[in-house]
Amino acid sequence: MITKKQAASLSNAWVLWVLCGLCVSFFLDSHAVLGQTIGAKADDAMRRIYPSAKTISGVSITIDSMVTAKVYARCEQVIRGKVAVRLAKDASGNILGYGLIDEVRGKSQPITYITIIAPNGGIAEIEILVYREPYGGEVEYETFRKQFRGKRASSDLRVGHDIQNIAGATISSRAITTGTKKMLIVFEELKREKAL
Amino acid sequence: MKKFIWALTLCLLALASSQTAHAQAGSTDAASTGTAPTESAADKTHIGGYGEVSYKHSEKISPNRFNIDRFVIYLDHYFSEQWAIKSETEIENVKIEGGAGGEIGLEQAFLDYHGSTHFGWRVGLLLIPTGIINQTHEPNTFFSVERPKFDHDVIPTTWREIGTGIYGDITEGVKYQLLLTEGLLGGNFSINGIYEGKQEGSAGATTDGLIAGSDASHPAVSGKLEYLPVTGLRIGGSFYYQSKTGTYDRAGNDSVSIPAISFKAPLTAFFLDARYDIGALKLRGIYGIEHVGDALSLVQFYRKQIAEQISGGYFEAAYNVMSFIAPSSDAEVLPFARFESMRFTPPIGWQSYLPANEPNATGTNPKYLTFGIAVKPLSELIFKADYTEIFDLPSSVTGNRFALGAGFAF
Repeated sequence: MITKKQAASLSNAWVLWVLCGLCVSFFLDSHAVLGQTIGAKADDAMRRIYPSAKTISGVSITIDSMVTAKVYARCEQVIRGKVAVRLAKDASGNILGYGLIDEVRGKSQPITYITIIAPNGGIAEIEILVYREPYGGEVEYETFRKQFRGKRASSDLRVGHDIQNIAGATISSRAITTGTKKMLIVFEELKREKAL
Repeated sequence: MKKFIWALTLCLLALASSQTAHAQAGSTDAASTGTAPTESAADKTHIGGYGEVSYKHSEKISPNRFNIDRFVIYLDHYFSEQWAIKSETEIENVKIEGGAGGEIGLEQAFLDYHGSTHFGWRVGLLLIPTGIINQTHEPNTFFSVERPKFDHDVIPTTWREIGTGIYGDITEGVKYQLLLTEGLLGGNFSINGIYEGKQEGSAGATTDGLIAGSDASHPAVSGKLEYLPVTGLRIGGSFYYQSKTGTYDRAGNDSVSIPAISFKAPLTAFFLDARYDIGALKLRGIYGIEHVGDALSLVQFYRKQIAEQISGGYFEAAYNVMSFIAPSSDAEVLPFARFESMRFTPPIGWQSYLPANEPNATGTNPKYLTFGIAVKPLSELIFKADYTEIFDLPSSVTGNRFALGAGFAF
């Protein structure tokens, strides 16, 4: 195996490596992502999906008690208050897609995500805008998110059925899956009420 | 060197604080756009927990036992989107009275800086990032009533020590954790492995009445790399390295004549694990190997048998039969089976220091076959029944077991 002298020097080297890593990471990190708002992140997500969009705008839709009741009846999930929606429009003002921002509870903290829905009611993309917990952030991975593309309000959207959970991140996988199902139904009900 | 480390830590803390100020300014900005999510993230303090109750029957050990093996309370507070304190406080085996019985302790408690996807930093009582169960041990995450034996005898679960570490994603699908913590005490190792060497942030023996705490004189480095190539598959490789576990503590060995020897007893360990969820099928496997250097010196010094090499692993499969019995149900019914094998090998030449009839002196190679069923009416609740057949251990020591259990986590 390793000699005692080698072991001692290896151990000291490791301490230095850890500290160097800490320093470098902190400095790199300070310029990377902090300070970007939820709204700006949502707009970035919309632009990635609709690069041809002329404008990205935001509206805040009030959920009335009728929509709350219909959504609950369809998926046993509660939506109240207001829903923030980003709209991607082309040069002639046609809506290319809708981005519904929502929060679901992870293990202990909310996860803020956007469900980007095409006018035909199918998912174009989901993206995680803010993940606050130290574990389970793998729901941000494209391999997980791409499973949602094309899903509709009528889709099953259940972990272990049409959505594969991430091994070791089951809670956040379930939270995003049930949340997405809710937002698809919310979208459909708002369209039906001509609120969108 | 120590002063240098402290100075650096303080600098980093100061730097990170200035970043938090930035980030908070950012969030205020978000609110003013009027496009904030439906609910605010105002719920900054989270209380959660997990617990498990069991009934155990053993062929050779009587009476049968009821137990609340663990009752754990999480208390987390999020100061901002970057800074949080997370804690788990545990009551093991129901109660402690007159200093006997169960255990009350912190299982983890740390200050966490979650800077970005690529970088987080934490300091406090941390879980060593080895294997599967050590960092994810809620009862609804494994199928047997008791945790796998491997996650006691090889990975001394719940393995936690005070220290600091960094974590994050190197790139999408590749995660790292790197920890610098207090290490194990080699004097407490035995032929049954390194379990008793844990300090868990509080080594009673080294509290001298002046300064309480664990023995911080033999640090360890541990780390884990995880690879998630496809959704459902997670492969992990982890290591633990401690250049010295020996303490040269002669107290308690007065009756034995101790020759002048010196040793460091370094500990080196590697683990490989994999989890694969494919629809209704759930597979898990792990292999680990640990080597205690200078093990013969430890045997000579402490006059007890110590394993020089510990290795082993397990493979487990479970299948959610509800996927074809009642596909519309969210409940899960999971028959499962797990096979574990471990080997504890003493150092060559131990016979010079110990009587040949020392229990388990030549090492052991136990194997466990556990099969049973786990029922999850909700993802947070689990009911379990299992049977464990034990091979290659003296039957007088232990017998086959049957157990029932219920657990929750929220």
